[in-house]
Amino acid sequence: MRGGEPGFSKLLENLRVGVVVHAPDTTVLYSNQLAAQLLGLTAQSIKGRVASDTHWRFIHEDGSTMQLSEFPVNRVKNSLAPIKNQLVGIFRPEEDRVVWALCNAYPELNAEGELSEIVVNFTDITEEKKIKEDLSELTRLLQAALNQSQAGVVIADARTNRLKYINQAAFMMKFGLPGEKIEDIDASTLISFWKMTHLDGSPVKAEEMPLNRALIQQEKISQEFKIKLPNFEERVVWVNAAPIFGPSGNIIAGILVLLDTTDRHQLETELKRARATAETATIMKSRFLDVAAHELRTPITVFTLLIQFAEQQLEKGNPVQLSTLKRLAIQAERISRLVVDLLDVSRLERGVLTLNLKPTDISSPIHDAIGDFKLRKPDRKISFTKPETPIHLNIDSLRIYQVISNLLDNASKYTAVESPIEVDLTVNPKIVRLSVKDYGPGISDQEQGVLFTPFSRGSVELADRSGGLGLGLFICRRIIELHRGTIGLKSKLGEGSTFFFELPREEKL
Amino acid sequence: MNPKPNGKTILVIDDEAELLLTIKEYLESEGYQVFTADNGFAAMEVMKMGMIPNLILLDMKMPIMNGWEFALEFLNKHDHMSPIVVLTAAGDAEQRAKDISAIGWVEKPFNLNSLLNKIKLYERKSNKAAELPEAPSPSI
Repeated sequence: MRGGEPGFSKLLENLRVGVVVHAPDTTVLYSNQLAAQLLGLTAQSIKGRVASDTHWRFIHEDGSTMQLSEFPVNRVKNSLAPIKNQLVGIFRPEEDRVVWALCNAYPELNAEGELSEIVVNFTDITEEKKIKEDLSELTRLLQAALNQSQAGVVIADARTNRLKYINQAAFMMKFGLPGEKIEDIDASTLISFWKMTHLDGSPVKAEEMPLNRALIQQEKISQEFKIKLPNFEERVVWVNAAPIFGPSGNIIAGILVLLDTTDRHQLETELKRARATAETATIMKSRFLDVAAHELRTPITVFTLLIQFAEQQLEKGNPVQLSTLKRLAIQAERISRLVVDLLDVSRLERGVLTLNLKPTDISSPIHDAIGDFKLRKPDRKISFTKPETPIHLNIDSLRIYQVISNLLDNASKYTAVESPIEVDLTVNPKIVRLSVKDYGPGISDQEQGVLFTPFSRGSVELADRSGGLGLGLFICRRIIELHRGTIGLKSKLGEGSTFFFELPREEKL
Repeated sequence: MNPKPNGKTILVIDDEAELLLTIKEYLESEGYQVFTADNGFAAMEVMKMGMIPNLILLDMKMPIMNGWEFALEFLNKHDHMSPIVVLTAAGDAEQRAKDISAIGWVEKPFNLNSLLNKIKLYERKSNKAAELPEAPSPSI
């Protein structure tokens, strides 16, 4: 190859490849325009230079400077063997940039087998290299974005029907897919892998699985399912699937995106439950108001009738009996008790009921309550043995009296007149326990659960039946709780009931 | 003070003792003979002793045996021997009266005059009704 041959030279100039011909000592014999340009010179100025010319600085891909011995021309010179596709970065100081070239070089030997020329050609791949780098950066960015996503992403190859890509969320425990060998997983096995079901628990058929629909019917789907993770956790997921088409419009893959909506579902369920509870409470309160109105109406009716009766007697010239006035007083007292109950409940619900605590012998409110009960119900048999020594407790005597009266009234309300009521006081160093036992019908477990709750279905229904507000026990419970005590009952159907409360004894009083 | 008896008996069934007593006193002062019972079962017991009243005033919500249960048993045993008037504080008094084929109802709260007027009205009504078929023969 001679640089002076004009036809051949023209051909070389028009190549998209830079060509440099070196003498065995690496002196440049010939360079086409493109090669000279790549090396930062002109075809003329390059001639006569040797490989070790300081003008050139070649670098590796990692940016480090290439040794002279690593130059393509020197490698061929030293080995006499051709080299292929060596990447060389040519640093261009005047432009402060690197031109990347792929080099091929080979030796030309003469008839004696001696090195006569070394031909090096350069292909400028700066553009391609940049595109490749940009592409790989974009891929990294996309992968980072996909891996940051809370949504699980699964891509299946349309040709093989096997998984091609899963992101971190899908890979991690989140969706429980194994991280390795995803290309062995057939897209159609995901249903059984996740034990996919519809929200109502019915199994998902193969033709209903969104990824299958995307791959086979080429449909876009968005639907909620339940899946089970390998750790048996059940999750609700919003599943989106779509086909991915290639440039020619043929399907190349199917993509599945899973969003975990379990928390939102739970929240919705809780919200629904809370709403239902609130609605029930509202209904209960309004039923309670009905009962309260009814309960107030009865004594008011009697009260009014008694007054009308007294009026008529007076009109007829008859005297009004003292007993009529007493009965009027009883009704007034009853109305006032109901109103006090209502006020107590209102205060308790607002937390503003306060106690007037004073060291008191517990026998005193018991005695008063039993005494007043006997006045109200002279026919009832009631037993109580007063302890020999006074037991002083820090209590609100009137409130404790109210609790005991309530328990006594309840005991008499549900039992026959001849059935005895037993009041018992037991004392130990820590607590004082008062119990009221009756031999009535007893209370079912179900009713026991709601006895001490206001406005509950049970308490309102009990109230309906017994003709009371159904608030008494709720008030009792709160009064005892304000005393840091506990209230409860033991009862079996057919065996009577024992209501009791326990108050703590303080060390010194 | 004791008025002239009019020879008519009324059975009042209500679990509210004071109401029973007041109605009894008042109706007695108007010449009725009044029996009382505080629930349906007690009322059936009263009638077992042979007393079939001219009118029954019946409360519905009662322990042991309520108004509905009483009406059922009464109609079984005594047919329409005594007309029943429902005594109720409930809003659906008319429906309750229909439920147990009562002759009418009195809504609580009521006043004594209106109670008496209604009792008289229902007495006339039931007499008319009774005259069409055979007049009820006193049991026993």
